[in-house]
Amino acid sequence: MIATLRAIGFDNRLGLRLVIASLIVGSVLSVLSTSAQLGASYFRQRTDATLVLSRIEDTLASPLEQAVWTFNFDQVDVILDGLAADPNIAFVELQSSTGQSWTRGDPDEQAATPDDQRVYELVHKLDNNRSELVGVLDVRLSLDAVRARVWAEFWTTFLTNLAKAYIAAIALLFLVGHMVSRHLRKIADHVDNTNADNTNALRLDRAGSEKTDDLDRIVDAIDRFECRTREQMDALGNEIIDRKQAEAEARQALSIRSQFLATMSHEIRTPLNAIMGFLHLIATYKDIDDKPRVYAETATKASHQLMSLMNNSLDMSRIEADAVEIKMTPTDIHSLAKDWHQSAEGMRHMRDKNIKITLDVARDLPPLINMDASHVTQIVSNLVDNAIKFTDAGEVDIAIKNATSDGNPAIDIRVSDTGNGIPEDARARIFERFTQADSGMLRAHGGSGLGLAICSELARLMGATLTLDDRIRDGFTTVFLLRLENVALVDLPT
Amino acid sequence: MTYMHKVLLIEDDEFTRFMMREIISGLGVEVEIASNGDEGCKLLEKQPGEFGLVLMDLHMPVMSGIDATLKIRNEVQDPPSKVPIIAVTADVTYHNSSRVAELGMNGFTPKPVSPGTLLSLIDQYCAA
Ligand SMILES: Nc1ncnc2c1ncn2[C@@H]1O[C@H](COP(=O)(O)OP(=O)(O)OP(=O)(O)O)[C@@H](O)[C@H]1O
Ligand SMILES: [Mg+2]
Repeated sequence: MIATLRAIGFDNRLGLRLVIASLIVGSVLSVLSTSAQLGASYFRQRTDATLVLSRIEDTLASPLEQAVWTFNFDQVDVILDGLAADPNIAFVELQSSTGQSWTRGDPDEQAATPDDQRVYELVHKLDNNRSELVGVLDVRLSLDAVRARVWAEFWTTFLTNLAKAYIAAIALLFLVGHMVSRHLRKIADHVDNTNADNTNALRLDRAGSEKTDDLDRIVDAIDRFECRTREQMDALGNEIIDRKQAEAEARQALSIRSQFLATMSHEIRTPLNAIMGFLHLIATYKDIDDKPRVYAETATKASHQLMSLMNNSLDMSRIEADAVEIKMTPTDIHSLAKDWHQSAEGMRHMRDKNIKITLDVARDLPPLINMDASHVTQIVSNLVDNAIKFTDAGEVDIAIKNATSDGNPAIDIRVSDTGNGIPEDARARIFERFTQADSGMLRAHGGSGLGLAICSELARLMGATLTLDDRIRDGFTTVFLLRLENVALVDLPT
Repeated sequence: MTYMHKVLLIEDDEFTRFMMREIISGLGVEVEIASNGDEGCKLLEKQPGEFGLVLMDLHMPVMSGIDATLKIRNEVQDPPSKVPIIAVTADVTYHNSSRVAELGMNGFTPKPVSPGTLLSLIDQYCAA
């Protein structure tokens, strides 16, 4: 039942509103049409009744005058009865000149407001062109009966009209449901369900007709809109695919380039290492003259520079190729720090610097901490190498302390020096690639300007942070701070 | 200082091999060389108990340093070889004592090896 109602549109407000509107309009129209109908009928009947009055003059005046003149009173009665038989004639009165009088109907009832009243003078024509009044006929017309009839008709007519209007409204509801609402609902469902996967064109189930109407236009408009949207989506999709491909290609190209660089750097290091070894053999050969020894020593220094360049280039390309593997292992930082100190002494010796190298390891450090020892070592030795390189007098200090970061244990490693310092305006740039503080992109001294860039990338990969410490104290001019996070051991080694 | 034991140098690069041999022998230590893991194993089998230290390159053709170590630890008989093996590699993933210990090696030294490092290794393993 509900389904049927729904099918024909009872559940949709649009249909109901249409029906209510048409019911109101129908009611008003039936009132109007009933009034018009009945008004017309009333006027027609009134005219008919008045016509009777006019006809009395032509048809009854002369026989009545004759009957009165000849004193044929029977005939007078017959005529007056005939007149009074008309339902609309309410009262008839005849007064003869000789004093007789006849009446028909109830004078009181109609005397007050007759709808029409005619008074005829009955005149007898004499031979000598004279005439004599024989009597006066008074006829009064009442339309009460007509009115009662019309009024009686009103309700039946009005109710039939109303019924017709309502039946038409219900029929309209069915028709609207069938011809419009169900299509509108289908359009709404279609638009709701259309997406990238469901691209069926909108088709309404309608009786065919060549003439396009509003619904056809809506369907066409939706079709065209969906076509356009689909085209745009396709274009967009293709563009996304193209971009992704281009991105992947770019990434692959970068990775191939980085891999190439990594391989080259690695391969160059092997023979370079042999060269350095032989230069060492020459420089330390027992019977060698001074000159060739100095040559070999100088060549050794140049080779060291080349080696560090190759190492940096190898590291950077490994970072770019995402080939750096971070391995956190329980590490004895106390012995590691001694190694750092020792290799710092080696670097100082290499650079011929007369400076003091100090190591300050806090006593309360845990015996083992979780860290990637080889990468931390790489960062520290880069920092120490820089510190020694840019310090001509004074000291370089390596300090290791406990710290906390967000409530978790951390380790701070500070490398400080008393060298020439880093100018304020260069501080922001030194972690960028190929950058040296004194000359920006142009390198003023040996070195690639990659060291700190590698260090900060490695730190980032380890989840550590490398910063230039602003709080310079104890006479140091440059302080780098490497903070290792998540240093607590998760499970102790057995 | 006198050294009782020989050093076995297993290294595929000819120049590096020659250079390291010169440096080590310059320290007064006898050196035997092999250009891959397989050759190294054969030398060890032929002269049991002679070597105090094996310097093992990891990436080599024919037999890698890792396979050679496995073979020395498990197959080279008479006596089951306990000779100290030090990995010599530029590959930072092996710059980790526990990693190389898992592979049956006693330690590692990053490549390139400096003469100073060589001296301290030989002092540690080959001294009388
Ligand atoms: N301890 C320091 N004292 C003064 N300046 C420093 C210090 N450390 C770094 N700098 C400045 O930061 C710059 C960048 O350092 P970075 O280590 O990246 O490159 P580099 O040392 O010049 O070259 P490379 O390390 O590649 O051989 C250096 O050139 C120098 O100007
Ligand atoms: Mg540097």
